[in-house]
Amino acid sequence: MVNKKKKGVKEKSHFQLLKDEWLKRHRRARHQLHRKHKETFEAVVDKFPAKDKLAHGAIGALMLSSVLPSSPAIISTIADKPQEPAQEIEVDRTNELVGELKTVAGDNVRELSIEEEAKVGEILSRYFKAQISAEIDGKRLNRSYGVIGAEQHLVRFPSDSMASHLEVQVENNKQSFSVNKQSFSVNKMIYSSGMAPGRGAWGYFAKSKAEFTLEDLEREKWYIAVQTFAAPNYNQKLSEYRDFFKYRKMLVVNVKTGQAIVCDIADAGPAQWTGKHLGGSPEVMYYLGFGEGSRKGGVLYFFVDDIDNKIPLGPVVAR
Amino acid sequence: MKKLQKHFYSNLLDLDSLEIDLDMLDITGSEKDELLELAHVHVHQAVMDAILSELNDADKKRFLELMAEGRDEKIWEHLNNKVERIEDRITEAAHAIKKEMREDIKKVKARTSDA
Repeated sequence: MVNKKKKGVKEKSHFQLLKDEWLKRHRRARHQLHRKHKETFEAVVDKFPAKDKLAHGAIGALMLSSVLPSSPAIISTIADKPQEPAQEIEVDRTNELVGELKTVAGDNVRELSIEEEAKVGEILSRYFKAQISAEIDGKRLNRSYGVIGAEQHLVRFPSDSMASHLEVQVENNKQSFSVNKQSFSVNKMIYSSGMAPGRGAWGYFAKSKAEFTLEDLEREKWYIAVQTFAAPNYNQKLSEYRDFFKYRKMLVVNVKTGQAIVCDIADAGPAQWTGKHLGGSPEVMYYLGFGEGSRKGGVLYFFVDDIDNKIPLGPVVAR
Repeated sequence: MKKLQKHFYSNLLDLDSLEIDLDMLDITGSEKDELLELAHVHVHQAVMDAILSELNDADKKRFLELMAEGRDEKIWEHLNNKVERIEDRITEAAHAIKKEMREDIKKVKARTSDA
């Protein structure tokens, strides 16, 4: 085996050049395949409720948004830097949080030991005033410190479209939700991320627009895709794990900046060969500080123990 | 070398030529594995596109259902009933995409050799 040569800063390695080229090729092929056969794919997905298991299979690799690189390159060119504060707070202790996390997890993404996970869980629990851990009831993911990449929006109910993603009347509780209060450029980034061709791991968030609730809206908005299929013992306890992961809340923290969001698991992926370990909705990526550039980065992702469902989804600040 | 996912048509194809070409590049073993995995996905996409393009809507659905269930014998039975010379279609599609990927490898090699 030949050792990798030291090259200039801007010169890409053989590996990176070829990977970039093949990922581009892959996106083109995927779009073409979906354009030609989308309806057939969706009809088949409907018949297989364990879609997260399909993600590992032969047709899953062709259908699921989170399995394959899916972000249009245009996103990075039009996204602006986050300008709005995530939340009003009395005392922001983000800098202290970042300092403590760095001493345990470090700057570079890697697998954490059980002891390190326990320590990180303790730090996060203390700063975010909730019970946060890498494991609940013996169930855990394949890792807790990984690279997050950008996902597309998920379709929330039949007939959902990108237009309705920006402004939706929630019929059941008569609440109107709009993201139009955000700046035009943020809306543009969120809109242009597009809609994934398939559905999330759990299917539609609501059976119809009439049954669509504010909770459904928030679940799509703050969703993450995680590698459920790679969780220890996943295949031996499929239904048990499926129930456990469905909309399970996780705290996702940008290790370098301390930006944090309470998210929910709504999709399975990305594939392990992508080099990413989880994916975030356009809103998640924006609020984590990955709204521009390569739109990926290192995050800690830990379960939030919220048995009473009292902790809202969305951005949070260390305090 | 990482074991790649098997498909119903895997006995018809291999990535040996690509693997040999990748050995010409300055890459590590794990990088080679990752690229081979991507190549494998490319071939799978091309094969699936070739097959689906030969089927009508109902036959496509049946084919995908059988794929999802992993019923290889039934897949072949279905395809042989619906498409003439399906094995040739599969190998032709795979050959075409492999040729393109080999060209990509050559370009990458040439690009860094020139630098």
